[in-house]
Amino acid sequence: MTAPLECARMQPDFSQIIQSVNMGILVLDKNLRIVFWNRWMEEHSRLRSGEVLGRDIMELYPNLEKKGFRWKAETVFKMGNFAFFSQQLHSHLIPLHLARYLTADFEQMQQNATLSPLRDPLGRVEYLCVSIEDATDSVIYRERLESAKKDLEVMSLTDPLTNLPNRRHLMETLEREISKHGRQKRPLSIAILDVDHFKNINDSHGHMIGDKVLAGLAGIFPRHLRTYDFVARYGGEEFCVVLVNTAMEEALFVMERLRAAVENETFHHEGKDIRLTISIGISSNGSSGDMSMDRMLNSADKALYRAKNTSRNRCEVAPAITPL
Amino acid sequence: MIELTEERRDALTELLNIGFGRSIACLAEMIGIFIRISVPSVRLVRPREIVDILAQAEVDRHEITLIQQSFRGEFNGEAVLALPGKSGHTLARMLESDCGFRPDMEPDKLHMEVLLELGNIVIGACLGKFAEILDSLLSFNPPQIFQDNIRLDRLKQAVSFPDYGALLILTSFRLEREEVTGYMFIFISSEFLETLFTSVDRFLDDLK
Amino acid sequence: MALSVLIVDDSRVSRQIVRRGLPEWNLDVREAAGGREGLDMYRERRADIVLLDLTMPDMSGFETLESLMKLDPEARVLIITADVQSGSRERVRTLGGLALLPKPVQKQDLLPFMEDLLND
Repeated sequence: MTAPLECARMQPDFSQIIQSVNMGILVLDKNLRIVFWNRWMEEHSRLRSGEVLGRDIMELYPNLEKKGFRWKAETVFKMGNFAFFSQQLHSHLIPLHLARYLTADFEQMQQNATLSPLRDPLGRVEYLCVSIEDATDSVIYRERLESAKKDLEVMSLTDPLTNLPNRRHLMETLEREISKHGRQKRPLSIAILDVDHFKNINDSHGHMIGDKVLAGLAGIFPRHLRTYDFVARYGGEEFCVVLVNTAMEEALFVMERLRAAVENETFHHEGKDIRLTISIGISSNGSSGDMSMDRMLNSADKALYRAKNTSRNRCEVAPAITPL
Repeated sequence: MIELTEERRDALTELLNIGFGRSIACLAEMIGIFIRISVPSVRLVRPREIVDILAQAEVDRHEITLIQQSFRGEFNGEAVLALPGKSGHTLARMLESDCGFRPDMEPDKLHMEVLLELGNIVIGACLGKFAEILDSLLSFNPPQIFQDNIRLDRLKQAVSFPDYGALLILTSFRLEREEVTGYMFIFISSEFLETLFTSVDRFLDDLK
Repeated sequence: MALSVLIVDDSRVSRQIVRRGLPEWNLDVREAAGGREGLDMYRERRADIVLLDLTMPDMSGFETLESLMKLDPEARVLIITADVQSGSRERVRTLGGLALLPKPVQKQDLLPFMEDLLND
């Protein structure tokens, strides 16, 4: 007798498998009454099979109403498709305690749940199988990864949201250009620009769209700046442009052009058309070229403040500085 | 023999037409609007070509939302529901208001959940019926939003498509009164084409 | 005299499936691969019943149905389609079609309509 044949004859006890598997399995009839509750469910819900059989699951766990469980279950019975409750959108389907005492990151178990059709011999959907997977560990690892990524980002030079150079990169670049331009006595300008009424955008459309708008804005900068202009994300809704070999007058021309372009641009996100304006403060290193980084940033900042306090959607220049 | 003969192509087109008809009927029932469907086209491609095909279908002027779902069973593959421009948002809004799927969630999450559910139902109904006619059953993985509102050229760069050959089925629908169009792509990996074609051949033999 | 059936569908496989759904009587079955061809054939020789698909390139099923009813107001046209929306059902009825049957068509669905033909 060959081994495969031997194995084919040995039929394992399938009910033991379902009871020993590391996942919650429960079965509901068309009225959403529980007809099967495996051992994992007993252990985690602290309800014995005998206590729950025949009960309406919506009654047992009223939170299911808020999750749209009934609607999804109906689609499975009516159309025979699968349905899903992802941890990322729902956290959990059924509130269960974590059987963990050493790590207390979550109070409740994070879960991914799948609803699948169980058919009769004629192929009609007879029962609904709900399988629940404990995703808490994956979530913890994912969150740790996110936090490690954030640490890495601080050390890196790119802002992840806009793909522009980040603040650290800006500072290094600015330092370098200021000393270079100072030595060579060449004009250098910087501009700080800030989205007007950004808080309103976040409040009316949500932070996710606010972020996308910033990314979108960063995306159009190259079109309206010169190829050798360096633009970085300076703060939440602030950007800084370093204009090398550029005196105040030309810097104003370039930034005014950008300001107008932004005013005329429409950003499309999730079916909404969003318009915005920017305020800009510009400063230059002056004819003697001996401005420090702090002073340049400071005076651009003051100019920006003036722009915001007058009409917004405008460029303001710092007054010419006489060398000390 | 893995060859897309005319007869096999005809059969696949017809069977997917039937599957897709069911998807659309489900969708139409949920939102109460008449939907126009196109005749599916079936060909052997590389998944990378999806971007060019989308461009030909003139969706490159808009941003696009893709909802992806893998399936497995007698044949494995993945389906993508592509919604250009504001279509995804409009459909999601219609689903929320017209068919009572309104779980208690934050607006951002609700929007994603509704899009995922939309993809799940349209893809599930189509492939489910398709498999049913071929006497087989499929299991589905959770759907995912592949790219949310991304421009087509960025899609080319951003997504690295595996380079296996695949059977590409393309079909589309359009809502009558709103500016909503959608496309569905179904990729079936080349490793499974033999099994699939065997099923199709069996189906064709039963007709003779 | 054998009952004449005209099957109009752009897919050969689909026409075969419809054929298989017909009762095993002595029938005169003709096939057309599109709306225009179907109209030409009907004009040439009337059919007792037309089994018509909806999703066809070039001339759609609705257009074909409309033209058929204009050509012969007594025409008996049964729509056999993958497009099973209730909206399509209504449109078929409005245009004068007998009914809409879902694909793949089953023998038991088609039989009552065929039997009706015998009663004329």
